Amino acid sequence: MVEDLCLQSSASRRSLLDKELMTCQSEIEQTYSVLRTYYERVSDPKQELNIKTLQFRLTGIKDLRTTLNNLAEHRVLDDIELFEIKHLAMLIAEVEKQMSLIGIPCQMPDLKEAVALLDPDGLHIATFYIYDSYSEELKRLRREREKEPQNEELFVLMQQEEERIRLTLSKQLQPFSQRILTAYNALIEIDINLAKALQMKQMQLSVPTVGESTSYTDMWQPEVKAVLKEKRMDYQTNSIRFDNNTTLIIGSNMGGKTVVLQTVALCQLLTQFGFGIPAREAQVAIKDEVLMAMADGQSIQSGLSSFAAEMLSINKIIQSARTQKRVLALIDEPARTTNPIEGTALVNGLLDVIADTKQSVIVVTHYNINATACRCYRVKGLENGKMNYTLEVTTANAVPHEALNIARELGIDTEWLKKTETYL
Amino acid sequence: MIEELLRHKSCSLIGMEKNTGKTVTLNYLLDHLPSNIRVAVTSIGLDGETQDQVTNSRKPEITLREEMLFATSEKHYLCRKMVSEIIDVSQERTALGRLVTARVKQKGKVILSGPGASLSVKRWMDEIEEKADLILIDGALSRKSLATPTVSESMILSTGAAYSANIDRLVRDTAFLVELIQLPLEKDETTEKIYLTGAITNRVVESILNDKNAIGKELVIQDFTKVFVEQLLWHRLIKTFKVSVKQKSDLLAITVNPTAPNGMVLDSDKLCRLMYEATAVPTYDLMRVL
Repeated sequence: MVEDLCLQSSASRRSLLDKELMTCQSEIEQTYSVLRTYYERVSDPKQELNIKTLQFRLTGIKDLRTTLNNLAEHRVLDDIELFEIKHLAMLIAEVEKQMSLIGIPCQMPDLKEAVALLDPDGLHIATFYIYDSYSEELKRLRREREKEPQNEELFVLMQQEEERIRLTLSKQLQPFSQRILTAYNALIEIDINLAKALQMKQMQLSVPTVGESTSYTDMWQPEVKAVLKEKRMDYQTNSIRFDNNTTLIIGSNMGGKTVVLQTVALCQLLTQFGFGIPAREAQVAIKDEVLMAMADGQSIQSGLSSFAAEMLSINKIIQSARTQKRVLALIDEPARTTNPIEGTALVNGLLDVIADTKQSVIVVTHYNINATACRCYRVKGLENGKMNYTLEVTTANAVPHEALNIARELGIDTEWLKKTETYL
Repeated sequence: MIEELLRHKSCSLIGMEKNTGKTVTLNYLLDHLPSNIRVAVTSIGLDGETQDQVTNSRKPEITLREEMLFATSEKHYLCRKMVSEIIDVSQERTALGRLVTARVKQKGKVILSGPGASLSVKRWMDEIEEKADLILIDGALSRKSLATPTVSESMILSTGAAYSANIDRLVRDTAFLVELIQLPLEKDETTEKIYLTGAITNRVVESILNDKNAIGKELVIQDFTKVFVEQLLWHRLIKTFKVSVKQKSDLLAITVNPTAPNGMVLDSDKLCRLMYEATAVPTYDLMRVL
């Protein structure tokens, strides 16, 4: 989702990637209330041109962390850094103007005085050099050098005078450093919010509410949906709800259970980074940690078999679940690679252990287990030879036996299937 | 040479070897271009630092007049000997920091070290295009750079005694390079074509010569800088195959420097005459003109 964001500057991307998961309800709600304003504006067809102009302005954002740090640290800035600050200050004024046209409140610190320092002739163009008007002495030296271009001594004097002016300018600009930094960060936030809002519009995402429990209505996995759309196929959305307890998902192979787990994880993270959510409606309970144990855990590098790797990652989940942290754990077919008797026992044991922790855990399994303590979802599965991916709440303990039906749909060797049936 | 140059929007200067007078040529052009022409200049290829280490000599400075535009790395911008106004600082990094584009306010000297990759040069050229009538690019030594001089419409080649003190060898090798530079552009004909990507080495050519399936097909290469083949073998290749390039630029002139760094001097008249006979490209000895 971050990759798909239409950010106008690489500085914004870096800033976004540096952000941490928000775990405070009011912070998340504040973020979404800002995003909602942006979303309203980008959805307004009358604002289209204004938004385009704003986007164009935002392409001017440059990574100024080093420069701003030098300014704050009382260093003497060179011509390039002075140029960057002038460029930024003028950009801020332009963006502020554009934002007020669009009607999004944006209070930028006043940088007029800083701009005036770097634009002594009042030219209002974003270029910079040590202008003649900074000092009579400089003006005189430059005029003399015009007559004697080969005079090295004159050039040295000129350079000394320029350096003196840089020192003065840097001193005069220093008190503005905090204001400039604030404005710079505000610019980056505008870029990020605008990109998020445009993504919401384009992908038809929604704003979640924060609550005690989590529920998604008609959620979808954006990547899978995009692939299906390319093949001109429809995506079947899912709805799921869970509290601080264990949820079990059972159902036939190819029923999209893994995709459900991935989507739940994605939505949780998107909420806590303040993005639009791929669901028609969403309520999300805040977590401190999102943990996953998925099928691709095998690690040849560390010399672990797929079973060992899986056991260790589930073990980590159990340990985290026992702490004070609020945890969302998603476990895809635990113990699937070992023999079914021990596997079933391992999963039953896992469910018992997790139940005591009162954390949100979703487990996908094919084993026959005692699920009375869990909320249990079942994928509807094959209906007239067509997969129905809908999740339905079930009280039945028995795991559906649809493996053979599905294998038949896949056109698997009939003799193999016939022989298999004799063993059932 | 100047008249010919003014017919193009951009020109790269390339050299056969160090000290063949590439910078002299650039300075000559900058000095002799009419003042009503808006000029922008940068450099590509190996940056100043690495070249300095080859011969331990300073990378030469170029002299720019008022209103000329130039792009150089942050490091070289800060030690320029002129008054100039920054108009842009790119986010892209060169080996020596960001690329600074500026306008000269008072004549002076600067070391040029521009972007290292063809794509970055192209991007800079696109950005500066509307502000300049002519873009000059101080190219790298021939075939020793990642960036190709074919990003520009035209080219000027510098060669001289620094490459070889043997006048025959100097002319022969230069003529061979000219031959490669002048390979025809690929046309949209229906002939069967083989596209060769990457470097064209002796081995590649041999395998094509031995490949019966290749006979009668046209060979298409990216541009002349990709050819690293011995002359004899190359001439065997073009006897049997039509070879074309995807990208080329007009070679406007050859400049020669008859003086080698060790003091050895070749006969300027003879060198110019032989060079012109071998290449049919106008040849100048700028050292003598100056």
